[in-house]
Amino acid sequence: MELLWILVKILIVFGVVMLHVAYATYFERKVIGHMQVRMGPMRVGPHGLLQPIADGIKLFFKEDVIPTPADKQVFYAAPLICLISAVSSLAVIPFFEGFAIANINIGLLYIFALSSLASYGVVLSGWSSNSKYAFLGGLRSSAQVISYEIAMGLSLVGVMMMAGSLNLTDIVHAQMSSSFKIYLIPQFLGFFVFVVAMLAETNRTPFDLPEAETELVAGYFTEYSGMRFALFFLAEYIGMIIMSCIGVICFLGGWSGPFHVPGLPFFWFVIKVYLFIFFYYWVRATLPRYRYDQLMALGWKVLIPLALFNIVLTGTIKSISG
Amino acid sequence: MSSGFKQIVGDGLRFKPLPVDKHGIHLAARTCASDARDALRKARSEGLFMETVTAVDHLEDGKLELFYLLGNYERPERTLLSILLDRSNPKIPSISDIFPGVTWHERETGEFFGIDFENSLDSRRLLLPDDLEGYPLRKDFKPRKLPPVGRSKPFKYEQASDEKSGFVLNLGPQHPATHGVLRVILHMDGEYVLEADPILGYGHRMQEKIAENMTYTQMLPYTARMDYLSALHYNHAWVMAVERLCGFEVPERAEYIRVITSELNRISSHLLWYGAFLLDLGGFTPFLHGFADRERILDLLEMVTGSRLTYCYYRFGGVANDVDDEFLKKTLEFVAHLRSRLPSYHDLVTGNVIFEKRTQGVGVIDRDTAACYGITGPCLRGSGVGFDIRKAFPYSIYADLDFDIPVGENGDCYSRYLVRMQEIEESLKIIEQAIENIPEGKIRSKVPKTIKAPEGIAAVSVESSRGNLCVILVSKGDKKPYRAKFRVPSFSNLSIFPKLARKELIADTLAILGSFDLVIPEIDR
Repeated sequence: MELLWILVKILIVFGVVMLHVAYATYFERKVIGHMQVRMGPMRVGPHGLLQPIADGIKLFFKEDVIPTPADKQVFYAAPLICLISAVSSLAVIPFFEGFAIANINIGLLYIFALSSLASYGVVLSGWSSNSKYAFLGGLRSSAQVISYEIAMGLSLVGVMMMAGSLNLTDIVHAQMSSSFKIYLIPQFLGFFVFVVAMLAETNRTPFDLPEAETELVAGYFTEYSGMRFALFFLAEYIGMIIMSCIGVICFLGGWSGPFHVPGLPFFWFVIKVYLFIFFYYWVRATLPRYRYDQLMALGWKVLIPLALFNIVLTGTIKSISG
Repeated sequence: MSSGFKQIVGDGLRFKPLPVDKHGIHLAARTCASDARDALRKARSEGLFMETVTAVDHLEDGKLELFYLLGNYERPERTLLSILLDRSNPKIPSISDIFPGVTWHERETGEFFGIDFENSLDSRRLLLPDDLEGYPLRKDFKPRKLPPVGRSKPFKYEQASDEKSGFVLNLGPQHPATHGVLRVILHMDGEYVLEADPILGYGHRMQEKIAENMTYTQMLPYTARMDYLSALHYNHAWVMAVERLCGFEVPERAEYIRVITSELNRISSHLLWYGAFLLDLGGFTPFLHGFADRERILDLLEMVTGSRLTYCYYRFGGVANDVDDEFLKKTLEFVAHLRSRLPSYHDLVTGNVIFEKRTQGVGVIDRDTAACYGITGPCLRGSGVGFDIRKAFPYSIYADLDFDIPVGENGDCYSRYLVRMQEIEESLKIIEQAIENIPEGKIRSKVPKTIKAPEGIAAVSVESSRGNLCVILVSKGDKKPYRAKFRVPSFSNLSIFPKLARKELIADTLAILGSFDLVIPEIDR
C-alpha cells in the first residue's frame, strides 16, 4: 500500500512537472515576445496554446543525427545523465504540507549532489560529440558549474544554520515559526548570492556561456538533434523549476502564505515558483552575456566571499541572540 | 601640382605629375616601381592612410597601371600614385611592411591582375578560388568552361592543420556571429585566440568584371547588391561617379531627395547593427526593438523607391520618382517617433554593467593603426578622428546642412557603439533640415539615353553606413566603363581584425567583429 502510494505520488509529480516544463517554454516565448514588441506563438491553437504539444511532436519525429566521429555510447548516455539527475531531484521537494515523495533528512545535500551529477552529462556530451564547439561548451560548463556550486552551497549555509536542519520540510516549518516568517529578510545576502548562482547553475542568461549561441553555435549540444536534443532541453527546464523550488523553500517560506486558500494547499508554493520562473525570463530578455573570465571573477571574487561573510554574520548573530 | 605632391611624398624622387581633372583626385603623379616604396614610406610618416590599391590593364600599350590611392584624415586631399608596369612581367616590391593593412589590397590586386608583389607578408589568394587559372581583371582573360554540374571529385572531410597550435577552431562560413559567409580560422590556446585568419570570397561574384561588361545604366542595379544594408549609398556613389565624369547637372530638389533617402538608409543600417551587435553579446531584445523601428523606415523607403532592401532609385542626373507631401509628412513623424524611442534604446543597453564590461577597452584601435589599415567610418570616428566624407568632400547638399560628426574617445567597441548611436541622431537632424528646405522643381535633368563617358578617371567617395565608399571609374570614352573599382569600407575595416584578435578571448573577438558592422557581400563583391 505504502509502495503504491509512492508510485502514485511519483506519477503525479512527474506528470505535473512535465506539463509545467512544456508550458514553461510557452510562457517563456510569450513573456519574452511581449517584452520584445512581438506576439510570441500565435498560430497553433488559440494564442498558440497548443504550441508546446506541436513542438514535442516535431522533436519526437525528427531525424536523430549522430556525427560519424562521435563516441556513440557516451553520446547516447550524456543527455540521459542530465535528465535523470534533474528529474530525481524532484523526489525530495515538499510541494505542500506533508507532500514529498521522499522526506529525507539530507534533502538539500541530495539536491546538490544530483545537480553536480548533471554537469557530468554536459561535460560528456561536449566530449563525446567530437566537435570543437561542443567541446568548448562542455569545458566552459564544467568550470562554471563547479565554481557556482560552491557559491550556491555556501549561500544556503546561512539558511541551514537558522533552520538547524537539512530537511526541506523542516526548513519551511522553521521559517513559519521564525519572527519574519520568511528567511528572505534575515538572509538577504544569502538570497542575492543564491539568485545569481541559480542563474549560472542552470546556464541561463547572463551566464549562458556554455551554450552561447553567437560564440559556440549551441555549445555542448551543438551536435544533438531530435529527441536527444529535447532531453537536454527538458533537463534545463526541470533544472530551472528545481532551482526555483529551492529558492521558494529556503527563502520564501515554501507553501506558507498570507492567508490559507481552501482546497489548494500548494497555491502559494506554485505562485512563488512562477515568480521565480518569470524572473528567469525577465533577466533573459534584458541582459547581454558575461565573458568567461568575468564570470569566473564574479563567482570567486564576489559571490563566494559574500556568501562566506553571510555565514560569519549569521553565526555571530545566532550566537549573540542565543 | 608637383610641388604639392613632393611636399607629401618627399623630394629626390622621380615624379611625373599627371593632369588632375577634378573628379575627386587632388594630386596625381606617376613614378617608377623602384621609387614607389620610398614615396609611400614618406606618405606613411606624414600620416596619410591607404585608401586602396588597384590596377588597370592597358592591353593595347602592353602595360598594367598600378594605382595607390592615398587619403588624408586631416585634410580633404586625395593623392593618386600611378605606376606603369610591364604587362608580361609585372613586379613591384610589396609595401605591406610599411602599411600592414595594404596586404589584403595587394593580395586582391595580385590575384586579379597577376601582379607580383615581392616580399609580401602574405601572398595567398584572397577572394578567388585556388584552382582558378588566369587573372580575371586582365582584358584578355578568357573564362574557362564551367565544369559539368555536380561535384567533380568526392568531398573529403579535411581536418584543418593543427601546426600552429594544438587547437584550431573553424568559425564559419556558417556561424551565427559572422553575419554572412565569412570564415575565420582561429588558432586557439584554450579560450584565447592566438591567431585569426579570415578567409574571404565565399560570396564573390566578380562585380568589377561585370561592370566592365555592362553599360553605365545596366550596372546601376548591381551596385545595390553589394551592400544590401546601405544600397542607396552605393547607388549614390555610382551615379555620382558617372555624373562627375560626364558633367551632368543634378537639380536641387533631386539632391535633397537623395540626402533624405540616404540618411534614412543610414539610420536603418545603424538600427540593424545595434540589434546585431547586442545579439553578438548575448542580448536578444535590442535586436527586435531595432527591427521594429527599422521596419518603419523600410515602409517609408518603399513609398518612394518601390523596394525594401536593394533599392535602385537614383538616376544619372536625378532620382527616379518625385516624393510627395505624404512621404515628407510621414518622414517627419518618423523622426519624432525615433527621437522618442532612442532614450529607451539607451536605457536598455548603454548603462548596462555587463555591456560596459564586455565592450570597454576591447578591440582598441588608435589613430596611427587606423591609418595603416585604412579604417574609415564609425570604426575610425570611434578612435577620435573626425573624418567623414560628408564633411571632408561635401557632396550633394551636405555642405549646406548643419550637423556634427560624433567622435569617440577610446577607440574601443564601446566608443564605436556610442558613435553609431549619436550618428542616428545626427541623421535625424539632417533629415529634418532637408525636409524643411526642400525646394520645388525638377527631379531629373536631361541626360542622353546612351551614356558615353568621356575619357578620364574619377574617384568619387560617399559616406556609406560603414565608411568611405569610393568608386574609381576609368573611362576610355566607351558606352561601358573600362574599369570600375569599388573601394568598400568593410574590406579595409576587416583587414585590421587579425591584429585586434590576437591574444584575445574568443568572446572578445566576436564582440570586435560585431562592432565593425560588417556586410560580407560588400567585402567579397
